[in-house]
Amino acid sequence: MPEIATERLPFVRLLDNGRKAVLEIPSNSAPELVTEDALLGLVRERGVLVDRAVEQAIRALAARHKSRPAGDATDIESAIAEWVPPAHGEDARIDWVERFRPDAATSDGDADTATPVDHYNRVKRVKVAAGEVLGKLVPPGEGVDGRDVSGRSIAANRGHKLALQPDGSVQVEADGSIRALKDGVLSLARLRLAIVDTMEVEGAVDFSTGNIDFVGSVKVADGIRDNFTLRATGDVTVRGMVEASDLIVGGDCVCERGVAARGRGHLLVDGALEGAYLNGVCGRVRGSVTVAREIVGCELLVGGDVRVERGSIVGGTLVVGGALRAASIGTEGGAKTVIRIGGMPIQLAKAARISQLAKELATRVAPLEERQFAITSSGEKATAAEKESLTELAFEIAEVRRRLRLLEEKRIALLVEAGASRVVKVDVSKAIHAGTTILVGNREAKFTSTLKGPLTLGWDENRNLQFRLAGGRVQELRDVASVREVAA
Amino acid sequence: MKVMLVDDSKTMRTIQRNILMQLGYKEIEEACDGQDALSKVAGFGPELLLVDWNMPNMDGITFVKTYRAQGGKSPIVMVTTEAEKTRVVEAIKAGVNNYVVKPFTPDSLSQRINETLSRTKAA
Repeated sequence: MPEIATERLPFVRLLDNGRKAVLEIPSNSAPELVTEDALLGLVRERGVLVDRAVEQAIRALAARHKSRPAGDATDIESAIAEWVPPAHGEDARIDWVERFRPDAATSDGDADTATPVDHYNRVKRVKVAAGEVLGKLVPPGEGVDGRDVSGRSIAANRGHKLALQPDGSVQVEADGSIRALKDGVLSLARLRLAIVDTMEVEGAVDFSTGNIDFVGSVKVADGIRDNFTLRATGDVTVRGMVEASDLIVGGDCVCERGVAARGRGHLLVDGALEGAYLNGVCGRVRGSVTVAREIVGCELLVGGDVRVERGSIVGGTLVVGGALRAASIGTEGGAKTVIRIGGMPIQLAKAARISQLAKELATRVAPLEERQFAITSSGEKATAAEKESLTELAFEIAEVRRRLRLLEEKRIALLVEAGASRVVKVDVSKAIHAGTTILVGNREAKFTSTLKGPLTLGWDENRNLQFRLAGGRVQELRDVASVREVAA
Repeated sequence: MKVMLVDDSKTMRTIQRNILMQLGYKEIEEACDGQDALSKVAGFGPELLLVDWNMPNMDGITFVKTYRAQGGKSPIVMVTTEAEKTRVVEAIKAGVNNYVVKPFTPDSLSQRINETLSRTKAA
């Protein structure tokens, strides 16, 4: 039986839900069905959108079929159209101004130049000032719709919104700008954005926090580890132990479990200091110091009162501007303990610094006056530029003189304050032990034996050091201690 | 009180700003020439202007004339090196209320400012 040759027809397959259209041209297709026009018609019938690219692809396939060699039995199959996928919108985001990025760490050093990494300062706290633009809230993108091969639109997804929750300290403006409304530190917890002026450290100040330098108050739930620095312009409360670290506090400072600086840590407090105990602390406290247990081996300058009512002051040097109240001073073992009282140390030190500053400032006037003289004494009419210079010089001179005047006023006020509020009052409930030295002005009293209290120590109108045991009469301190005059 | 300083010298503006701050004026706007000043006066609304004469783009006297032509009524103190009488007369005719010749001292500028303001108040 003779074989009947069956002609097959070209056809179009749509794949992947219309994402791709493939044209198949069997080798034995009738030639009239494989013309460009016939194929274009076939493709259109199948619902494929015929654009320029599709048309070109079809023409190429028709040409390929036409030029195939005789006897070539392979079918032609080729994609003629592809979908255009939708471009989904980007999610909303914050484009931070680089220096305000809350997640940015400070420098990790430079691998190329082998710059060492400062592990104590790696954690970044982002300080901001009122009015600064911190970044921009970029809204979610709408996206661009796609289409399948038939031209049907495939909707793009809109990006996700960012439900930022700024508190009253931050404002998101109409154009998305995020503006700080107050000074402080930027805090971004999940989506809550705020500028805070009290920093709360949940653990200790250590490598996890780095050194802290904060405009405002700081609360530390744990302690401060060796060699770290905490600097705050407001109050500081440390629940745990403060080790050999530096604490610089603009307000009051509470160290609930005490300070174990071991002679290496420094404490500079502009307000009052409270703590369980102080050990080996070197520093200055402008206000009063209240310690529950003892002050041991400290080198401390205190502008106000010192109260260690149930504990001892042992070793070191304590300069006290106000009254001093302690259970005991020194130890039975004769620990060398020096107390200087009645000197208003903070004010006097400040007045001395101001004097020095004023001297340095005053040296600036003469060169300015010389320049003034050089211009005015030339005998010729001053040019416009010279007149401007003369104005600048006059202003500089006036400014230096104004500052000198202010410094002098401040220095006098400090000296008056130091003189007016000089306090010599020491209350000791148990004992002042041998080895203790008490300095008042130019008088030095060295205790060679223990003087048991309760007692109060002060001076009379002639500045003779005296003491009185509880219920007893006033006695000269030289009766129980070696008293002599020393250079003040 | 809002004060505008119009001078092409940043140093001079700083000097004037410091003097004004010491006198208690806190709201101070600066402009580096007459054109800059004209673009800022409407938004800032100065109640006193200190204006230099010689500046690039638009000099002080042109600024004063334009400002007055636009209805600006705030007192103007011309602060300049131009000391000739004819220049002073020209400035006064243009609408300047007072005149400070450079070099000036902080005291002399303060005095002229106070004088101008009290005269304006009295008027």
